[in-house]
Amino acid sequence: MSKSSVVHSIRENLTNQQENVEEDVESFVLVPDHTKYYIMLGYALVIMFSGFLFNSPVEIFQGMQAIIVAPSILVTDYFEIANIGSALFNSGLLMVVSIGIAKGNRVNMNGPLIAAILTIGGFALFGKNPYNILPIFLGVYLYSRVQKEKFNKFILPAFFGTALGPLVSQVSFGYDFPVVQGILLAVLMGTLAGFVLPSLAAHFIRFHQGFNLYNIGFTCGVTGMFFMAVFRAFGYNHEGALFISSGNNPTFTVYLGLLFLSFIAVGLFYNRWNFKGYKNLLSHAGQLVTDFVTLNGFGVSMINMGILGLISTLYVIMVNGELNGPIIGGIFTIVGFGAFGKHTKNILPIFVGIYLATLFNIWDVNSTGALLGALFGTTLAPIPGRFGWQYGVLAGFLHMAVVMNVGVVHGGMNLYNNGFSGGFVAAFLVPIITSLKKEVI
Amino acid sequence: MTEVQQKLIRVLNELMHYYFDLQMEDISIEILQGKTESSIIMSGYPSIVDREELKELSKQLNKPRQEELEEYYWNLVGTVDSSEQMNLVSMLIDSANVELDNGKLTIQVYRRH
Repeated sequence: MSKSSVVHSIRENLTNQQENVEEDVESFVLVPDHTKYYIMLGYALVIMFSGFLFNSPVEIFQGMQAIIVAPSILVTDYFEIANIGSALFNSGLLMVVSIGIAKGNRVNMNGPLIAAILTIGGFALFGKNPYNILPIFLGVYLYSRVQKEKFNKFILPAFFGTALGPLVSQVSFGYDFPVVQGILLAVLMGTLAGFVLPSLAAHFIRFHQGFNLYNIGFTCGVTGMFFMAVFRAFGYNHEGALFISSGNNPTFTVYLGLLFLSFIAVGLFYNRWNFKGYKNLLSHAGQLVTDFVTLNGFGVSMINMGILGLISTLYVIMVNGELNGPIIGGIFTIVGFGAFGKHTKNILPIFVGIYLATLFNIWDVNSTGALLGALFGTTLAPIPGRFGWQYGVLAGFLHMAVVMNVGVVHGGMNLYNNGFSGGFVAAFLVPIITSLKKEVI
Repeated sequence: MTEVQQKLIRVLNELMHYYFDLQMEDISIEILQGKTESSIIMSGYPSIVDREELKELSKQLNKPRQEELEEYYWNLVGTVDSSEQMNLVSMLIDSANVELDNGKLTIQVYRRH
């Protein structure tokens, strides 16, 4: 028998056995993919149309115009430069577009995709908009064509890669180029960035061994660093931005509270109205690739997402922080990764580490920078998940210092600055921790 | 070396991690490469066997392959010393069989290129 025939017979054998195994293995409710799509689309539409609770259609239209022409570099709160209604409309709109692209490309609505969609929705409150994400998508799409592969294989780098949206917006509207030339150059730059992202992202993941959940954040940080270096070499530079809104806490405490309670309710519905499986979910370290939807089910994942949303919102309120665009964006991102690696056990040590850092260093615990550090610092959740809470506290403490130092190298063009920082922190800490653990053994 | 072969090595690496974690000393490996599909068969004699764990492993390895994850994350497979990472293998394979027969643990995995 030839080798091909042997492999073929093994496949047949395994396929038969797999069917037998799969009949009785799943202990959770298997939710059909189209149902998960409808649920995510429902949330996107709720967020989008909730914008009309805050502003009139005319105000939202004007706000969207302001958002689209904003340079959008870190930190540009769309609540502040436009209005709350248009920021929410923008958030929901980008989620709808992402869901449409994913559905059109037949991608499973599992943990990674849920994380990507909510991350896009979150960052659409402070940096991503319909104009600046398209060239990134185009670049990744062209890469898939050159590779002669289906686009769905690269959809995650495409979605997460929109972190470089400000590169497009800043070149279009932030420098003094004539409008048409600026836009053409920006689209070219964005497409080029999108084109290189998939190969870089797949390569850089080994740098931190999956202990930095925002791997694309690290990739975009490096990519943004190169683009910014070239701009500076040609005499183009810019100051950082800090447009932050305040005074929204009463409204958004209720808004987010209801939203995340509904996540828990939907989760309970699909988990036979109990918390079965949640304990098992908490047992995962969360290291890439831990897809809770595949491993523990959609219901438990939604419960976890809702709980994380409530805890994150509570943390912001407890330290007297402001619930503005970037902070709510951070909360949305944590919620998204509640389907893809994060849970209460592995994010709380990071919060504690960041909180302790702010007690001793120069940043106020409720400043936007420190709060963003705390929320997005949970990119390092796999460290406490794998090695224990004390290492999570250490990682959080270290992350707070590092994240405040790395933004300058990419000039705020990478929205996932914490993912950039997290890559360095994980790559620095993990080898030390593992070597120490081996010595103890 | 082709990317297909590199991915097979990663799967092999991850399976070997698993077997070493079970403190197996004599391990047999067979690799079959076809034009459009490949298979790895690994067997050995573990000193301690947890049947529930094997059932869980079988469940993990038979999760549906997800193309959207493979291109992005395959570089992680076989690089991390953690038994939890066996679920990474399922990203790269189409099906698997975990069998314990007279103390001999055999894992077969099959992958379409």
